[in-house]
Amino acid sequence: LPGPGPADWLQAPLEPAVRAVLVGFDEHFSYAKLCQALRYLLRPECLLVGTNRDHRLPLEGGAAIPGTGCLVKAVETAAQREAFIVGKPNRFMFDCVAGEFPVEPARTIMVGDRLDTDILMGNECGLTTLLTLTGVTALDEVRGHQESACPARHRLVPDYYVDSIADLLLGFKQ
Amino acid sequence: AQGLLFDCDGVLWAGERAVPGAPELLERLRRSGKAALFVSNNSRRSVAELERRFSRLGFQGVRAEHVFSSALCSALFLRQRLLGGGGNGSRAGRVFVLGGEGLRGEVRDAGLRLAGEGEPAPGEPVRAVLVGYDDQFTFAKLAQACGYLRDPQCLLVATDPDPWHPLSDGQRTPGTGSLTAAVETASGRKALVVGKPNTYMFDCIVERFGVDPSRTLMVGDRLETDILFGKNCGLATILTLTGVSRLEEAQAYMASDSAAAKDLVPNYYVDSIADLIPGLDE
Repeated sequence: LPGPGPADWLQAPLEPAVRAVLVGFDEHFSYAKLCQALRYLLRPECLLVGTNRDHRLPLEGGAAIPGTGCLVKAVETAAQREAFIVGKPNRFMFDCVAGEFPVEPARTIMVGDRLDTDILMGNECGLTTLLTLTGVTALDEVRGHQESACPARHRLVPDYYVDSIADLLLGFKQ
Repeated sequence: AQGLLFDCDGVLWAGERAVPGAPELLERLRRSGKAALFVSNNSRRSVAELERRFSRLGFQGVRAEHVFSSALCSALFLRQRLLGGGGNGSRAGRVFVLGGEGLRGEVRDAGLRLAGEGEPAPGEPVRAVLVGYDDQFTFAKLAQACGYLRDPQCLLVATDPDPWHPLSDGQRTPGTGSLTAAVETASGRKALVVGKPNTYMFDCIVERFGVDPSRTLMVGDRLETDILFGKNCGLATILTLTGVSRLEEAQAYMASDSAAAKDLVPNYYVDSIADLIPGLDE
């Protein structure tokens, strides 16, 4: 965008053909881009789509960088609208897979490390779900959901878990 | 009423234009001995800049000490939390500010030190992240803020919750609220919000001027901030229609079954604050 400040950015012409704002992981996210997104989203027919809601992308050593979910939240707040989220736990991506390959949910296992994305999507799509503990989730988190009185939290509980997917090799040796 | 609290944007002025009749209203209030104070969620400007703005737009006699901006009050809040109780200044720690020079200046004037951008971790710890209106906000600054917030002792403070602000041509710019949402999501923390509708700014006003809420009116243009602020502070409220909120929105809240919605209904409304002038003669 030309110019150093909002007064300049708000004068920049908008492209008439834009019909959607898509928010993904953007390490160059800025107020200027947020400004432009808001301008497009004020058109009633403009869609707001986010790739996913992950809060954080873990790095080695316990540090993390902000995830796409933060940028989606910034845009949703400014535009006072909810984004359509394509990624897990939304079933859209499973539907994409099922559209291209002959997948039978009853004979398919979803393997993931995150309860509120991988496992939830698997459960919602009628797949068998397997949690691996090599990622973001610790077992006591699962127990917490399992013991909860809230039915929504039960949807986050996997059918099985392994310490690592390497443990599945044991199944093949038999 | 003994005094009035006015929001600024959308009430006294819109962009660079004073609302017609607004300067006259303030002048009449002054002459009739009624107090007029100003409480704004806008965290861009220092109160010194705001004093000049009042003067430039034709409002006479408004001094910096009458103006309570979220920038000033955030600085006072941080001073209380980080320096309060006779704390040693050098152990107070630094503040990482996401905001412009107006906000940064208020924080400095409160006796606090700012963390630089892109500075490495060692040195005096960062004890607070302050999110304000930041038109230079970037992913890198968001990541830097999150790094500081890994320390549970580091405060997360936001100047105001406003999701967007209107411009005179009908466009909108993103507000502090949208940036705070990003920081909250990344850090897993909830921000302490200084500005309206929270009551901290009223505490600052009472401390300086000893205002009696039962004899003070709050005049604002945004139901979710100004009117709710008035309700939270025990003030009667007047909605003016020269700003953000439409009359239909107030009517919708009034018709709602939710108890929370009732708090957003003003006691009175006017098309513009100039309409208050005839009432002063009575």
